[in-house]
Amino acid sequence: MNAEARRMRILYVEDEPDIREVTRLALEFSGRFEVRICDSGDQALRESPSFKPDLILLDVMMPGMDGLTLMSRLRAEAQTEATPVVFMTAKVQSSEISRYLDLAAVSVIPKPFDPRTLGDRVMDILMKHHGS
Amino acid sequence: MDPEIRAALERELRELALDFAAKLPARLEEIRRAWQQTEHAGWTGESFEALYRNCHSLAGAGGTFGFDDVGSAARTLTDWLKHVRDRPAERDGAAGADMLDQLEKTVAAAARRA
Repeated sequence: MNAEARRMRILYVEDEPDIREVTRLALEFSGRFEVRICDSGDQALRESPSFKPDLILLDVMMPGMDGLTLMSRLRAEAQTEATPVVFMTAKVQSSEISRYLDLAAVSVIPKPFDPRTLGDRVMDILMKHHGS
Repeated sequence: MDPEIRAALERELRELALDFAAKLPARLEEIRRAWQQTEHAGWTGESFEALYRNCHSLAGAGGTFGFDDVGSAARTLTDWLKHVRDRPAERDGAAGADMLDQLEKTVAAAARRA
């Protein structure tokens, strides 16, 4: 797949409003993504089938359904079973990162992050995942 | 990135950082309130998880908005809370209270700076 042929659809799930806004801004200003924002796992499960994301960005620690539970629920849905998942987390211990990767996340973006480079980072992950 | 778009992004980021700084005292107040509830509840349960989540969230957000010192102080407190959760017998409440005070000073300094 040529990841630059069209704007890639990113489903982004985050409960923290400030981080949601800065991430949305960073991704949209890069001009390469169409971003759908959800503030909970339940909303993400409702919206993902129609949105058909190319990549899912998940916060790990959320009240109610956490990111790990949400990833397994998305994996059980036909529309998102093979969609790459990237975790964004302030938990950056290497053992935790290894655990997320073992659970089939394609990458982990630690918080804090630089909003100026987030778009490039996400695009790199997408390109690597699609092998282009 | 096109220089004009880059400049627009910087303006938006600056606005978000100011907004984040303005809300810091309220976030700290929330952490203080959760701290008191957690102390009362014996450092377990829902109030502990809310306290942990609030500190963890601030640890990640601080640096993202350019307040590395706030993020770092919140990270120290988050690590202490994680230790308390994993090894309750080793809890040193005075040490935790000192970290909370330090976070408060850091937040006050950041709010003044912004």
